[in-house]
Amino acid sequence: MPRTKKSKSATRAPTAPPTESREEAPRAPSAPSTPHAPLEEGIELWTRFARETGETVTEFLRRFGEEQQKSYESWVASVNDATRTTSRDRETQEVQTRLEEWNRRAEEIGARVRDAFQTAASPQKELFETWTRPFLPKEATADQKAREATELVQKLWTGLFTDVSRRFYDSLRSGKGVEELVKVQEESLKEFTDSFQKLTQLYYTSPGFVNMFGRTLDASLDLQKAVRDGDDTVSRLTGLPSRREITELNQAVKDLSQKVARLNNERA
Amino acid sequence: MATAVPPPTTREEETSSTTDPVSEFNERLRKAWDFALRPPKVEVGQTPADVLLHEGRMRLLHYRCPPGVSAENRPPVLCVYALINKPYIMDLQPGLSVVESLLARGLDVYLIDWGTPNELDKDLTLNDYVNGYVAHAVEAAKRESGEEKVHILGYCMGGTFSAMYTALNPENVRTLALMAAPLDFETTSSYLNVWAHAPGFDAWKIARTFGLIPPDFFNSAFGMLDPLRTGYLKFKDLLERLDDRPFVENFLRMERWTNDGIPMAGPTYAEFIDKGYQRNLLIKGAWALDGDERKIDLKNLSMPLATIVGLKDNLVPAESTERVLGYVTSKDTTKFQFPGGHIGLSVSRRAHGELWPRYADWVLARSRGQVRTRGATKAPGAAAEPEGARPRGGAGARPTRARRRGARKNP
Repeated sequence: MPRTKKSKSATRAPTAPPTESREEAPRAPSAPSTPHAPLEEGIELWTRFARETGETVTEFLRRFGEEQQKSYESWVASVNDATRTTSRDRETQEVQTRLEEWNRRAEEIGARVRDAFQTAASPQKELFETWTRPFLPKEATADQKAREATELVQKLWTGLFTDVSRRFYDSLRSGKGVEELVKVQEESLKEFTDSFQKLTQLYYTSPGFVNMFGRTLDASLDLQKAVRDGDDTVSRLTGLPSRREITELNQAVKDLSQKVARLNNERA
Repeated sequence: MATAVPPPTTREEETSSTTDPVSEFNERLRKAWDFALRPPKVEVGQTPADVLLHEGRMRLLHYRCPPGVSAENRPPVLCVYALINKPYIMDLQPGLSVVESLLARGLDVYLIDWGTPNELDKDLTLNDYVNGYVAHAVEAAKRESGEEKVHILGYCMGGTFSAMYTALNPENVRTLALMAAPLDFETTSSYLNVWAHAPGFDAWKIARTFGLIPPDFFNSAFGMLDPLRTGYLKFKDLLERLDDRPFVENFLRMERWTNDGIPMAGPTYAEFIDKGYQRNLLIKGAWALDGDERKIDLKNLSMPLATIVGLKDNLVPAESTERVLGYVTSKDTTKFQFPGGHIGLSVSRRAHGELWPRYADWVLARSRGQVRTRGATKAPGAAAEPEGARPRGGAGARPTRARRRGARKNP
């Protein structure tokens, strides 16, 4: 179409040699040949930065992946040895001893976590109770509630890991193969999933959680409103447009450009 | 001697050498790294369409008649999607597309694409959507198809809009299908219904604070509905099926859709929560849209009516949609129940094998002898135009209140 051809020719690169176009440029010797465009310069700088950083990040991820791969391979080699039929009988006893030791330590750590949690949580008793109320008997005293709640945390912590490790350990006993290991892992996952869903259902629909959810949301809205009011105050004091106003103006300009482009397309 | 000959391979060793799960997992991990660094590119919304109407951010897509399907006697079906995420969930990929399924069964499909609301749309109300955009889309579909009435398929929040529009304008709708649409909010089967009654949960305060409700606000709530699946199980499934190219591509499409949220105008959100989730006014016949004094009366729904629900839907429980049948006057009601979730209704293979052909037949059965023969046919086999479908006839569209308001704000 004629209009398109015209616009294309208007934007075509000048055929004159570069020396001539330099002569047509502003007189100041230090002036650049193109007008100063900080936005374009900024975009170019960011593009370069992103490209370079992207390469670095990719390289880093690749190396990190390789290292993880090596570490993982050495770990699976040891698991492979443990699950191999020929060596299993001999090593099962050793594995069992290690797991029992691990469980004993996990219990110890669990107990310490419980104590630490109880000490740390005591100043925020009210908040803590709101979180844990759904799980506690209604008639319990404050001390009982605190004890039960912390025990609950410990149970969740050690319960999950002990359960998983017990199943893993059971599958390593003589006469059970790799398929059995996979099967118990899948069963364990399903059991865990079901329990988790039940726990979520119980917790998310409990009055304690719903109450806390509403209050937290309300407080967060107040905070956001305060931030916005601050922005507006700065805007009023300085006479500069607020971020919201700038966004709105930018959007209006963008919208208008799109409308014009659409109308032009339809006309064409 | 036993040591002189190589020992026979035991069954267990043989198994471990061929299907050693640790080696398999190892291999999967390697592939996972490749996948994370170089994920395959996927397309969505590929069914060819033309833009029939363009109003503010909203576009009405009209899908082209596919090759091998007669362009005549096709009943017009208008799909009204929700204001949450993008509507291409109804046209996710070839083979798993509601649009494609309906076109293949001989329906003339229209879809409202709400676009992405921006700061200029932050004052839009439910009235603007129901009596503005949906109403104009219905008129455009009627004009284009030459029909006096259209079939409406409303999905999720779009189903609520559809029920509202149809109750206010029953003369324009031949059949109404409400798909996973929240209508009776008096239920505790979804956490959303429970949380909406939390003390301190003030929808209007949320609207005033945000202006436009950001998509992250919705995503965080939806993520809490099934945290284990959202945060762990789906990635575990992906890791286990990295070899399965169609699965991986489908996973990526779903991820793209899940993270492709759009903001919602504050007043629209607030009215929906306040009058719907908190006060359940639709079922009570007491919902009048802000700016429109008419009460929405579900008794006006006398046309053939279908509910389409996922029995495992944890976002909009089945009863929230199906209970509406107790409040309408339609003598021709059908329940389509599907053993899946909210999104599975539109993207699962089983739904496309069982559900959508049945729905299409349901529409066709209620259109026989009522669809006029149209002379115009479109060229089959045209190139796909997913996101940038061609505009057509947008200039003649009537402006809505929202559009006029947006125009006033332009500098």
